Amino acid sequence: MAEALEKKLELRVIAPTMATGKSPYKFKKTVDMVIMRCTTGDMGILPGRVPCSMVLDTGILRIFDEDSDVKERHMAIMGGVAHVSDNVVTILSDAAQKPSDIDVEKVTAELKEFRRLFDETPDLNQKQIYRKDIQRCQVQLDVAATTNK
Amino acid sequence: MPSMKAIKRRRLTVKNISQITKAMNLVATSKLQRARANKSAIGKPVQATFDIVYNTVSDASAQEQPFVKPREEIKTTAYVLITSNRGLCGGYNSNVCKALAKHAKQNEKNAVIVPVGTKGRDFFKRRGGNLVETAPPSETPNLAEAKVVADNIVKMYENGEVDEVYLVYTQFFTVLSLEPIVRKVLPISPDYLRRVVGADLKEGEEWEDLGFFAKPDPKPASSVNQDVEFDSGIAEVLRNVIPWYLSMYVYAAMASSALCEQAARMTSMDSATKNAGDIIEKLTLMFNRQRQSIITQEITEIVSGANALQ
Repeated sequence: MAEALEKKLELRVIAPTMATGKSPYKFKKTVDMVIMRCTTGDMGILPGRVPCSMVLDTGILRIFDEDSDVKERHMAIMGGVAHVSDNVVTILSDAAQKPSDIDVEKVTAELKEFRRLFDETPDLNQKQIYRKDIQRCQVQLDVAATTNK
Repeated sequence: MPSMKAIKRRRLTVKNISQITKAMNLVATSKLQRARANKSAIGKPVQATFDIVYNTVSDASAQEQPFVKPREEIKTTAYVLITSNRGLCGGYNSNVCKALAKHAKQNEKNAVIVPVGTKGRDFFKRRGGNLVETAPPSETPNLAEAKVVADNIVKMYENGEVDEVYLVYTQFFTVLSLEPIVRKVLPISPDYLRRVVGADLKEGEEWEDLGFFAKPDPKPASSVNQDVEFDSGIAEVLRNVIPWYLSMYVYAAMASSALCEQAARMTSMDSATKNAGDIIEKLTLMFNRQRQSIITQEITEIVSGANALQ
């Protein structure tokens, strides 16, 4: 167990990108710990974790690395799946954004618009869709507010 | 025998065409390098995704899940056909289309074709195939486009519109050896996937090379057949993993096909340039013969005219 704790995790984030000719790895690094938002709640992964698969919700992926200049990084993850096996955490996400990828002005305007639509629509199913959009925008703004740009 | 003027004009035309084919050959050579780099760059992510899918579907509880359990009655088969948007690449497009047509004929099921690339779409449109309209892909494959195709297939499979899905693409072996391949992607066979990811290979069993990634190292016993925890239940995980599996499969097939397209274009343009050279040589010979015969005829006329005056 002690040996496992001394080790580090390899984090790989794969997300679709329209940039051609580039690797689909959005992020690939050796880290100490990751905390991700799953559909069942937040889950922290440390080295030595038993193999597991989980479904991700829209939320912030928190990446901790003591050896790096930036001790804690944040990424916006818009759903997907994660798998942990042999100290490798692989995240397959529909969209993953670093703080530098987020256009704060655009997202703020979108958030305002979605809130207005949410308040105006009487349809409950439509409200559910707008709620998800609002959640996505809020996660993006939270990530953009972090300093690890 | 055509006139000298006509031969000269034809020779000039062939020369111009050979210049174009030569330029296209050079462009294809450069694009081939890029396509090769692109294909090798996605190898690891594809392998990582396949490993995850294998770890999920190999679980005993996954065998009864919809994407793993084969349907009792197969009525309709979907074929995802990957071709190029452009021609002038020899038999590349027609070979892969013919491979699909042959498989569909042998399969004897209703075939629905999901074309990725306009050439394949046009081929089956002319033959009256049952096509699903899709947007033509961009020149260089990307995961976002592959995901759109994959999500569409998953929806069709879940709705029961199709009962099995095949992927038809061209596998790259060498520049001169390109092979059209028809592979079943849904429902997933855990045993086949085990051979693809090279896990727990039994004696006499060989690693299944899809041409997407290099042969994986033999996996340690601890990493195979290990119990995986499913945080939100196997059905939910599988429902989210399958679109990813298909996206990466389609993406890798698109990258492989893009590489084959450039290889096919390079070889066909190379042979076109060589053929143009041969034609120019023949036309030059014909032109010289024609010129010589006119000169000979003129000399004969002058000599016979001089003889007549004496």
